[in-house]
Amino acid sequence: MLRYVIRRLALAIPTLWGVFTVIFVLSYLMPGDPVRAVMGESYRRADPETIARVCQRLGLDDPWYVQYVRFLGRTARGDLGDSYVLEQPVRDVIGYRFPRTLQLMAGGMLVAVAVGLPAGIVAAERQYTWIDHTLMLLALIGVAMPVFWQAILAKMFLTQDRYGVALFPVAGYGGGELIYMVLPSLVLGTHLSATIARITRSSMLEVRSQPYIVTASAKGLSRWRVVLRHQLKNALVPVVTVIGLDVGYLMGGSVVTETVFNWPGLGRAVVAAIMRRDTPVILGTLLFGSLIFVTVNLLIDLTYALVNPRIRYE
Amino acid sequence: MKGARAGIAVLAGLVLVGSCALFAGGPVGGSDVAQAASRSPMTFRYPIAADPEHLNPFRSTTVATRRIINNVYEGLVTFDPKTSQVVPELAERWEISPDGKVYTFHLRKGVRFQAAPGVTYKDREVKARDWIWSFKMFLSGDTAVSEHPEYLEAVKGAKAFTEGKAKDVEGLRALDDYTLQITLEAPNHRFLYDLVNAYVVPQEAYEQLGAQFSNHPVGTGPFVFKEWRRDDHITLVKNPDYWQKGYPKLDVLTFINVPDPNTQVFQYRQGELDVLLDAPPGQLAAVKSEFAGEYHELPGLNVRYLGFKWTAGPFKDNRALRLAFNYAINKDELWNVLMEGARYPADKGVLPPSMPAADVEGYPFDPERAKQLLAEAGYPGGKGLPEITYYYYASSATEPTHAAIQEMLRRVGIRIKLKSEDNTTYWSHIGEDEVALFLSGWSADFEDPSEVFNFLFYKGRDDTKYDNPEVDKLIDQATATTDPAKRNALYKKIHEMILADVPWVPLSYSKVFYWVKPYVHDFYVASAGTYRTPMKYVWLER
Repeated sequence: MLRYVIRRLALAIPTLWGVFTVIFVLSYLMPGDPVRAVMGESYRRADPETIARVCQRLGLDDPWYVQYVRFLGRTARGDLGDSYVLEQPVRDVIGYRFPRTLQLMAGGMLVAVAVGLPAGIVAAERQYTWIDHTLMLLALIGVAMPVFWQAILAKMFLTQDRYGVALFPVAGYGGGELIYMVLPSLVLGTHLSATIARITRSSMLEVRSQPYIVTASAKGLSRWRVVLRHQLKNALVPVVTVIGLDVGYLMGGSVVTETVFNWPGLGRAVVAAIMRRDTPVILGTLLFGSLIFVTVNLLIDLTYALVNPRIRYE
Repeated sequence: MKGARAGIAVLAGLVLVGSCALFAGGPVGGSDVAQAASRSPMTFRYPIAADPEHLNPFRSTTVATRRIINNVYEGLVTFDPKTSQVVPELAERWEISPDGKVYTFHLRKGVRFQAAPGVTYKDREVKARDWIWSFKMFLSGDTAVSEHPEYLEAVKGAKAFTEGKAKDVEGLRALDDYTLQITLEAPNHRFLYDLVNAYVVPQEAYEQLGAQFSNHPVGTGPFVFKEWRRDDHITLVKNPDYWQKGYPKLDVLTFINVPDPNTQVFQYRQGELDVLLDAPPGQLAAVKSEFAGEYHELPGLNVRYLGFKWTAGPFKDNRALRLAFNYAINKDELWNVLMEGARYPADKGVLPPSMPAADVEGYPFDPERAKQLLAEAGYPGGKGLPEITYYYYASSATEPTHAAIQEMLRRVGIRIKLKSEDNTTYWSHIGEDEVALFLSGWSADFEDPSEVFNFLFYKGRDDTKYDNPEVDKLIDQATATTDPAKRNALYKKIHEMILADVPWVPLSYSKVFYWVKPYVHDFYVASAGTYRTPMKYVWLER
């Protein structure tokens, strides 16, 4: 088990190097002049000498391989450098935003699991009944409805003063108070819960036909005991995989949720950095995201053993 | 295996506990927005669509940065909030020598730098030497220090200092603690305007705060910086030592980051914001009618245009073709009907309407005349004219106009292909010869024609590469003319010459529009836009 973990961690190094190289190459090949993006509105007012000095200061006049080696060397030493635009070390950009993203991720995931898992179980148990059809129709709507539209609905019907009573604030981080988390978590979670419900349902149905479930029922266990103790545990592997993959989505893909709810998360920072061609922030945040993704997936793989004892790691 | 499973269980438990602790820990840094609102009767909640990049006055390159630091820093002069004219700020008055080269500023006494944690002053009062230090910082040739040597480039010896050829700036002299003398290389009527953004900065704060200075502004202004939570909010509070007694009237000024215009409307409606600065595309008319009594508008300083490449492609040396485009586009339909009055149709020339010399004869919508000109250009009925690619930057705010322009041109026989690019790609690309036709825009900082002429029609600086040596000569002459009447006559002449050359289709002039709650008073907005609004006058009646 320990050897497996060490081997997986060692494999993460070439993975991250690969990610670094792909991101570097893509940001280098992105069309558009980075100096122009970095200087923003003042570019068109600046004289050519000022523009040349900015280019030189940022090292953008060096050939690509010099820039690559410089970035790689610095990153290998654990230094992610400074943002071209924000006058902030990339470390601080991540350090400030990651806890906030994590909060939103946890909230969204909580909603997704709390809604998706029971919905999937009930739908499987009541297969082909009106309950199953209703739940799966809702799941289809949940998957298909764009996040920004869900957000508009949530803001219209669940915000303060709507019914003369204080409900939830329209948007904002509010210093991390729980009440500010409700609407973004709900919107983010609804989308994911639909996927989880559908996967749980099909996985539960697949496991139901296994001989050991028949055996469990035959020895006289109650239906719900069979479902929860025997069937669910074995059906969880694909569900846990989906949850693991969704972590990647939640890390960067929640940018729409972050934007419409004024949430100061990592996703918005990455998009802004790409727009401004802020290479150190693009590299640093995406590399950090990859590191988290690799770690979470390792944890997920280890969780398989926990939910399904037949899985062994040697 | 059992041990391993236990290990995983512990690990999973730790992750769970960690997440719980994160929630239980509550605010990561505290909720100043909520606390300030409950504590103070005078808190103004101001939405910002984009977080500033930093708050460093020497390097402020965007409106997002200036909107905040305008309240913390001050210059020798400023703009009058109602008339946009240059008026005294930290200089009580000034004299200009008859030759227009020597400016003597008499400084206001008793102005003190703001107290800031971690900063110890030798002398908090602002004296002439503080101005010299600050101006030399602006003139630094190191772009890590300053990106605005142009604010003071007119000063004698400035160029040599920026290039590292001189240790001092010849034209800057402190006659005594309260008298600053600035000598220019040549007379320059723009100098006072440029001084508005050349703030005084305490050397002690800059040096003692080090890298933190960019995120912690310290000046002399009505508001003191309190905290900045990136992409969330920025809080400024009343400066208790402010030189102008009775100001600011607000206790707390909170800039709340609201990137989505839809959310901004929701928050304004729910009373979470005191002013609304934007409306979602396509909803302007609806939001205007919902908050009809709270809506205000005035002409702004941005001009949007279709640029023709002057140096290559089908428009080069073909004035009739350029004119045909001008007559073919119905600007009134574009801006008043399609875009619900979001901007003013550009019915005159290249200057925003509030500037002197803006009143010239434009090219009206006349499709028959356009067809005639197309024939004169050598393409009767559009025959022989290749399809021209029209480049524009992707923006939901302007999206509907492009297809409409395409259709208007098609009706007179001109075929264009639409091509959108992301902002950075687009701006890097349109200067190239292959881009013959493109959408562009320009925002002037103040109501002076030099803001447009000196940057867009001078020595091929604009992406059109338009260059007319005669116009260049007249622009130089106007810049050095200190008499306003004579200068404006020159600008009128320049404007007519440019218009006769037809380097653009002027499309629209911006409209500064905003909604403000009825309990807000003295929220002054001038043509430069809401980012210039001096928040020290604002007060709330609740």
